Amino acid sequence: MSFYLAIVGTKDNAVYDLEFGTYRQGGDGRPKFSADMKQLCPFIVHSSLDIVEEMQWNTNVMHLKVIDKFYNYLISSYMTAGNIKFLLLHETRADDVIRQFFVDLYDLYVKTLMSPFYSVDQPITSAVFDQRVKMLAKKYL
Amino acid sequence: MSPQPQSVVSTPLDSLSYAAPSRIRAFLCPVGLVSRPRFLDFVSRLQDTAIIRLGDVTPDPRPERVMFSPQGFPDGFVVYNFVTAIDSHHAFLEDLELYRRTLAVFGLADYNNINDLTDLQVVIGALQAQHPQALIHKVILFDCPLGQSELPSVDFICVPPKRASRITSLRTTLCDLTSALLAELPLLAKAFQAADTIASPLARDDDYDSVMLTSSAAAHSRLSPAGSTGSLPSTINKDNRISYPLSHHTERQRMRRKGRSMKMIANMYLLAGRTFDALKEYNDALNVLKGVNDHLWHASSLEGIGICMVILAHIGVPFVIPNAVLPPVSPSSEKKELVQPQLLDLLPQMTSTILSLYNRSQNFPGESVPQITYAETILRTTNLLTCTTLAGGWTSAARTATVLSRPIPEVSIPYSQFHHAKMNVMNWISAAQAVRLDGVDAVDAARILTGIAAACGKLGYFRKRGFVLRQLVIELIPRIFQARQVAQNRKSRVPRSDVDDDEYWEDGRDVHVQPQDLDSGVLAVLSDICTVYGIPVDSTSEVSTFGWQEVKTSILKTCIGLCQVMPDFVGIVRYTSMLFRFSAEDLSVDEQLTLIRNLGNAYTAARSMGIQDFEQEYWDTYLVRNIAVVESSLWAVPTLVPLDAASSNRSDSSGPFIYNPFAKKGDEEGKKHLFVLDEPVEFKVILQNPFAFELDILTMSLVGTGTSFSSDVISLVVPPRKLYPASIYLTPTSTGVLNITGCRFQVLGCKETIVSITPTQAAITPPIRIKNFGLDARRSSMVKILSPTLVKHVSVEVVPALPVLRVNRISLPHSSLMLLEGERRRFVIALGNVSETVPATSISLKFTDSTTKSLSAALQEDFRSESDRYEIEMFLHKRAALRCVTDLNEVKVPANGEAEIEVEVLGKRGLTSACVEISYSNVFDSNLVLKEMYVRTLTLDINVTVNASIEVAGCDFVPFSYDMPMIRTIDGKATTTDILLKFLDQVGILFEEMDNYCLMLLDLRNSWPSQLAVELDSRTGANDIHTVKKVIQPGHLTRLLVPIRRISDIATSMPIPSLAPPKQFTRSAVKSLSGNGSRKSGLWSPEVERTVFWYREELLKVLDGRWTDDISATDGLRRGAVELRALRISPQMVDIIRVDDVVVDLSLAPSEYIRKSGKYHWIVEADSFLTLVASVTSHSTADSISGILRIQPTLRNLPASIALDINRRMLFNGILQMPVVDIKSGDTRRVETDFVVLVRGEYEFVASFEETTAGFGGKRYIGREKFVISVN
Repeated sequence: MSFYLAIVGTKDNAVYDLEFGTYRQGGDGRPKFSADMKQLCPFIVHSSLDIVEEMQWNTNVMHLKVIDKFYNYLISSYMTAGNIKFLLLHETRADDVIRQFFVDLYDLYVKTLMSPFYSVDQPITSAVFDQRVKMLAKKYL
Repeated sequence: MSPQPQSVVSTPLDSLSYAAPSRIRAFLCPVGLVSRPRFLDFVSRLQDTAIIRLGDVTPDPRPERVMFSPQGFPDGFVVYNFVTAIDSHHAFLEDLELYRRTLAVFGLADYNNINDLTDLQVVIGALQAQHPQALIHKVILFDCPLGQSELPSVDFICVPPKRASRITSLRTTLCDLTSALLAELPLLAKAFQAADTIASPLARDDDYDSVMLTSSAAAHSRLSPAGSTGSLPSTINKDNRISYPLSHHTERQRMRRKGRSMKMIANMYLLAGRTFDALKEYNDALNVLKGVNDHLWHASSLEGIGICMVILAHIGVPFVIPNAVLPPVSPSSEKKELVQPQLLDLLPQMTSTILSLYNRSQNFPGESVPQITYAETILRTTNLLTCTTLAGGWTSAARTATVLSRPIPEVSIPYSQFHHAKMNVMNWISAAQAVRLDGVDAVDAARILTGIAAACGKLGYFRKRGFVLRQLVIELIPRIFQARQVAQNRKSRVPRSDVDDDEYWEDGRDVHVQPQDLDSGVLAVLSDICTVYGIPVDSTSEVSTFGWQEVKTSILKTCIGLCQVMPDFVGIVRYTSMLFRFSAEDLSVDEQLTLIRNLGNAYTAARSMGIQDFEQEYWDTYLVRNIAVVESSLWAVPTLVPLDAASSNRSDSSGPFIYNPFAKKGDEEGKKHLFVLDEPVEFKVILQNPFAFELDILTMSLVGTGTSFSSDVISLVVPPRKLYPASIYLTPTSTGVLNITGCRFQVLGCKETIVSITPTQAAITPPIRIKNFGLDARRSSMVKILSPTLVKHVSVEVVPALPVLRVNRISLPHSSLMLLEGERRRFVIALGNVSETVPATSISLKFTDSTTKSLSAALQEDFRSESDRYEIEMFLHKRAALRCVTDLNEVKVPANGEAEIEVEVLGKRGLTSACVEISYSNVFDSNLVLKEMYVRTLTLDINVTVNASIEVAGCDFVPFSYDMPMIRTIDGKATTTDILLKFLDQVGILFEEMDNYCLMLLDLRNSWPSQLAVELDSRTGANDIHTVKKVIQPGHLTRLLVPIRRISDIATSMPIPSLAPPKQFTRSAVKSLSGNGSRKSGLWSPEVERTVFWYREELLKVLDGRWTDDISATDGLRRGAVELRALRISPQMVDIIRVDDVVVDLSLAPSEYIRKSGKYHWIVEADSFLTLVASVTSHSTADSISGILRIQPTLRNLPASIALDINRRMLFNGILQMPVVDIKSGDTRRVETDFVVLVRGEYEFVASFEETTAGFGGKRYIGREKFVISVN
């Protein structure tokens, strides 16, 4: 199974994005998207922002669960307090695990946000952040 | 005259509306000579009247034509779907979905352009031949004044001109046409009923119409194999179609045929507006088809029922929902009227049933559903739900919008309801998106995708719409490419192809934008996509921080890809430049090279096609990194000099302030360049090319504001990844301030652009504060690429024309000369004016020499005493090495003329080189008082060698004393007195006045290897000058005896002046010296230093020395001054030179007992009464002096112990110490003391005056000469 994670800022800008695969079921953690799909991932995630914007006013929880789908792919979303959107493209439904993943990711994101050298909507280039996200992915997905 | 199908602008009804299958397709084509705008006008007039109520239609009286008589349902209506293109791709669907068949063909003719109506008769025949499926073929004559009876045939319909006709006249015409059409329908129905078999769209039947076999059907031969797409519908290979031969009719097939024909009739009822009958027929057909498992037709009937119910709901006629469509477990399955909101719930359920039936039909080869039908069913339901969502429920507005495609007025809907409805629609959109487009041809793919996009757009899901449109573009690129190749191949074989590229776009047009012409339509779609992804389409000065960079780059590449296959050259140019503007850093070298090559090709192609104004601005805003003036070696740069005193002081670099924080720094920014009128100036423009390709700049010229100028226009190529300096000339054509703001460029493939100077490329920082988010943030996230603070400009001032001078010659060989120290020499500079027109009328000279630097450096040293500093300043400021002799006011250099200037050089120690700066200008009106003036400067360097001549080796001073020892010379002929007297006689000084003078012993050395005659003047009186002459041999040291008049009345209390310009602070060097004990040793106290200084100054005033060399000089007599400032005097010497402030003089009052033997020598008799007169004279500069006069008599020539024992030898009347007060300056006070000498012998009197004015410890003055009395 492959995943595509994107953190989208307030201006539809990708703050961070990552492709990864599962470690379960003998997976090696590498994404196995086809070349076309690899190119399409940002577009799919971007297009589901419409739904996120729609959903955000309709619920008071941050985890919006699966909000959109594209063929066999599902898109789960998590909305932070600062209107930063976490979007995860995945293949099977696993709301609980993804919720835990998002909550831990939010924790990481908030820590990044507290850095005086980082301001909202800037791309996250920290290698540590990248590493931690990968560890989270390994832990949950 | 054959009518050509044409793609035109129209405002057709939404072809994906839920009720679209209830519309009659009518094809409109121009007939005869009709201009394009006229034709479009006709089409839009027809479209305005596309809905015809059946109640208005006259029924056909023929009894065999009453099947679809409008009288059957007067409330119903017929809706025309006017098209201007034939959709031959979907001909195979016409049996299943009759609405796709073109039932009416209307030729539109402009009566004004028709000469002969009979010609049109041929047209009717042609139309019939071309469109055999159509039931009626008519020609509508617009703007025809004739009555119907005047026309040759019933096939011609006359429409009066717009102004002359009533509004309803066109409607009446259409009603008549509808009547004719409805009368034709029964024939078609009979044909169907009589048909042996009715085939499914993907089945092949022997008697199936040949339309099926047109080129479009060939596209269907590449459908994907059945079953490979899982749950998704797919079609089967055409080769596997199963036909139903006549001889094998089973009961099942008979029922199927019956059901299908019933469904066909129902379709016709639906088209004819007889909705009730349609509903009933559909229901019957449904029941039959359901029984024989004919899923495809069953589903299609079900769809028909849905449409019928919606139309009936719209008309407002009560109806009964057929049992068959109700959910099986529903308790409301009783035959009762459903209230309308329930109908809305029912319709999606029905669609779900339809879709599952369609899916089931996949299992039957030949009976499977075509993908376009499947997708359109979903899209129609989506459309229905979108309408109800936007209208806030199953309102009449929603129904009108669904049936008649009328716009929905804005209503306010509770958010949660709206959201829920939207989510519902979203599910259907996802279902539509899930339809695989692998086997669908380009037109259908475009149709499906644009349908989805339209639904997304209506719901406000612009990103989704962008995504779908992008998918559309991606789908289209390879298909268009393929189609182009096919078309090209065919073109090479067949002269004219009916497959044109335009056809691919015909069906795409009705969803997003109505293209005025093809190109702008495509561009509009692409612009729309770009906007959604945050690429500003029309702004070039701003960049959006909105959006996903990776996505943006990909979108732009996609846009370029589409434009290339079209090929749309304008689009290629546009999107390539946008890609370079926004995402150049994401592109690889190869990509960049390919893009720029394609851009160049597209640009050339577009130009050759004659397209105008399509170029974009050049993409790199930071092209010009810097513009700098290149100093010309040919044209000297003028400078501004102030002429009035106030401004000259201010401009003095050494001004009153040592440090002025407000002074402008002398860096490049503050430097103002001065240009001269009509003289070309070179600029260096630094261009950047961060790209991997060579930048071909066709034209480049400078741009500026202010006064007028003319710039060269150059063309150049900037190498890849370089900062490249380009040189360009500019000629100012009027005076004033000129600001060079940037350059005007035309880069190959780009519009002519003005680029500002931006030395630093600032990072684009988005606004930190978040005001809004999502798509709303698009506007607020626009950031100007160029903030004004980054933009620089080069400011220059253009001054009036100035001459250009040149040194034609100089009267010195090799510009060098040799001087002796103190010598003055003159030379001539000849100036020539190069300028053709401008004379040099104002010339001034400025000199600098090599001594300046060392003297200035010496001044900076801390340990110098004040007098030393004065000395240095004297040499620096007062003793100039060069001087202009010629009166410069008289010197004018005419245009192309010449003038001479004479300059004098002084041999000054340390002078090795000198520089003459000739500043010149042109002042037209000499009477004009100018505050400042622009001048040019010409510099002339001269080499000088200064050799030593006469040097002062040392000096000493000797006072003239009356008590000189009487020593005889060796030969015994003369005594010192004799020599003195002889000398005094020589120099003309009276012996009596000898003590007013002193003698200076001056040692002079001749360092020049040739003898020099020296003359030394000493001014001893106002008119008396004593001159001492001597010839000094080379290398010899000679002592000169110079009488000097002693100096009095010098105010030594004045501080030592400074010749340097006044400063803000003058640190007291004296104080620092006195504070430092180690330095003080060996130097004099400040008072002494001042005294020495002032006496030396006074001394130098009266001395003057010259030397001449008439032997060695080859070029005439060498003469020069002796540098007497080399004199150094000590405080002891000052004591000799000066006359004391208070002079105490002793003398004896005249008496008979006394005899004077010398000025201060008296011979008196013992025991005689004598009066000692002490006169105290004040030369002090103070107003008055008070003090104590002391007289000290001693025995002469005896040791001090005995000498003072005088009490018994001399008697005084009074005391020897008495106060003398208030002596005015210049006054003499006499104090007389009587005394008697008792013992013979020689006595000395010393008088002293001790000043008390300043309290104790005042100055003490002692009489200079000893007063001697010899008592006989």
